[in-house]
Amino acid sequence: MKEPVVLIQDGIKRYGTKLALDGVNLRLERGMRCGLLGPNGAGKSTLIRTLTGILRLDEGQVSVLGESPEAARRRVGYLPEERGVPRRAKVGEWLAFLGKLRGLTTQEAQKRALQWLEKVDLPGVERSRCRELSKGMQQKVQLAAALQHEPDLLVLDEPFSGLDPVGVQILEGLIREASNRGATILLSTHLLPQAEALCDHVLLLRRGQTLASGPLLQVLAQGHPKIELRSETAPPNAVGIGDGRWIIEAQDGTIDAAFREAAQWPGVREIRRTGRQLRDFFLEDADA
Amino acid sequence: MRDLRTIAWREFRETALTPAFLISLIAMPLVLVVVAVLSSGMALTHTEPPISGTIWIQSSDEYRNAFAERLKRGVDAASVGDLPLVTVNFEGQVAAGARTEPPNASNPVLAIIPDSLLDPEDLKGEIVLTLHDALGRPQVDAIETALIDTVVALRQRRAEVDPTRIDRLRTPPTILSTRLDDRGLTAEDSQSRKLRALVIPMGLMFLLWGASFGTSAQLMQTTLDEKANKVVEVLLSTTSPERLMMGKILGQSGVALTTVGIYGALGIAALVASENLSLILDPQLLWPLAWFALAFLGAAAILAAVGAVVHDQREAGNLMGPIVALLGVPIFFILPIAQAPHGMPASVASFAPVIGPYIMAMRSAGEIPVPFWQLGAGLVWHAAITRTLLLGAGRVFRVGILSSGTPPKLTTLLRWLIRP
Repeated sequence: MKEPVVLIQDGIKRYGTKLALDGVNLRLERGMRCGLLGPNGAGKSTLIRTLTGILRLDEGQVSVLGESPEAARRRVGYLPEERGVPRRAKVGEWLAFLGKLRGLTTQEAQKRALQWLEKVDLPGVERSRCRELSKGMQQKVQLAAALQHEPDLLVLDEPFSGLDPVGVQILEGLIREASNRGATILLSTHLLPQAEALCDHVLLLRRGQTLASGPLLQVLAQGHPKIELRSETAPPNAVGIGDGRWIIEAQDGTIDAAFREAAQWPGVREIRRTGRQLRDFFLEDADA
Repeated sequence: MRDLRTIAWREFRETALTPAFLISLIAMPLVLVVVAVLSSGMALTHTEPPISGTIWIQSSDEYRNAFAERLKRGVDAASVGDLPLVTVNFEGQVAAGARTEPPNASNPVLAIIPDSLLDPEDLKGEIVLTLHDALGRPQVDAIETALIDTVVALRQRRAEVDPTRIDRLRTPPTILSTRLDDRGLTAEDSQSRKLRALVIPMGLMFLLWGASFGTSAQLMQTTLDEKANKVVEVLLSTTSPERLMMGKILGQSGVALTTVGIYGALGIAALVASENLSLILDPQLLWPLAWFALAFLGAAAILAAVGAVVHDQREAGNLMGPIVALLGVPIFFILPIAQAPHGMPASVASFAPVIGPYIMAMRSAGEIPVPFWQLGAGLVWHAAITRTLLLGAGRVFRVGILSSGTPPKLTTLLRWLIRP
């Protein structure tokens, strides 16, 4: 078995009496792209802060790149959800400062800062003060800060928020590039289509507990096959998902019969078989 | 160590290598010098308007004539604050007789001097003086001086004694004192001793207090800014909260030392210019630097923790009140310590947590060495307190820097301190 890049075993974290992580397990290997999903208050940020050494678990084990999270800090790139830039600092100096804290030499940090500003489509802003940049440009600076030391583990908390479509495209490219060179990606996002498109693994949390975990396809296969159709009236056993669309959940062995029955329902204009989607976990959780 | 150095250098650069800091650092002494030069220039060119109009004197002809003689010489007004003496001239006349009307601009002075006051055997009575309100304080002072001088001169004349001889006999002797240490080596004159005993400790105390308090407040501000700007989470993913705090404290200590260095150099330049450099060529004056380090670290630890737990300026202001009151206590000890540097109040205050190092700094800079046992015990005691403060501040910083919502209550802070 490969050496895990991230390993959390029975992780428990409390804030006073509130349980933020309740026996969470996670194992990520080199090159994996894992989506960290869950509704607000699920424990995503707590888990991320644990992996980046900002918080410590109350119980359980955590290791990052074979070390404690504190010891592995320099090999981790982190883009927090609540991120900001020092308003007075010059962009180049801020990036070089973070690069040095991540273990780069002064010259290398300055060089990388310029390179990464080019990469995130911000050439020539190194002498600008951060307050002079737009919000989207500041986001890109922060992205460069997380990536510039070419970390082995990249932790991104809601990285797409605040980015325009071009920025989203750049970010997706950078995530794939990091993954291709062998970096492990942990990506927390509310944008489920983006998670499904970018990630090969997922960890779904709900109120600090693991809802589902593993390879994306395997997690999606855990659910029953479904039939999605458009019709003016509801077929038997169908659940409305809006806009005249309905979902019928079938047992594995009965999908063919259910499909034939649904197709014969009067007024059906469109019908297709579908698997489980990530949004189903959230909907099921909300129903529960 | 490298992360500490990197954070410290950034903290120093962001604070000290800014136009605002450099301007304020240079502007303060510059303003003082300009004010000193202007006020001394004003003093040199300062003139009081002469007293004009009629001065009415109800007394003997002998007194009136003597008074008129005295006025001709001009009278120094001694009551114009720190400015040099100003001579007030008279352009009026002295008239004899009583007036029932109140003084006015043309007749600004009415004085009644009983003859018994001039009798060297009697000396009874008092000068009754009525003045017009338009006269300034120097003019009033000059008239009073001239009236009194004249009374004294007439008494001496009537007693047939030589006034200049009496003045000579009343001249106080100067003291040329010599103080020797156990080896009989040290000698200081009284003037420099006063400077050494009072001015240098007080100056050092103000300098160290100002530098440590000012830069600690700056540390609180930068911590608060980083928390408010959401920068801190990025920083905490690169280093531990305790190291972040220590790096910031080290950086601000560089700012404090820069401040002390610049003002200290200006002070030394002033002593060189006044040929008093020998006053500070004393190894004993190295002690305040050690106390300064402890004082600064204590204040910085407290204010870094404050910066970490608050969320905005208003909350910081609320917490700063009691802290300023605590850190301001040494200021009230300046005079008592100057008068009795090794008395009981000074000795006890020297061991008070947080403020003790400031008191020790001032006492150490004084003329008489602090007892060695107090220095040793004080160093150990305050080093332990400073270490505790830094550890406690680190624990509060660790939790507080990521906190949001309302600032923690005292009980919550205590919980963070006990169980981080």
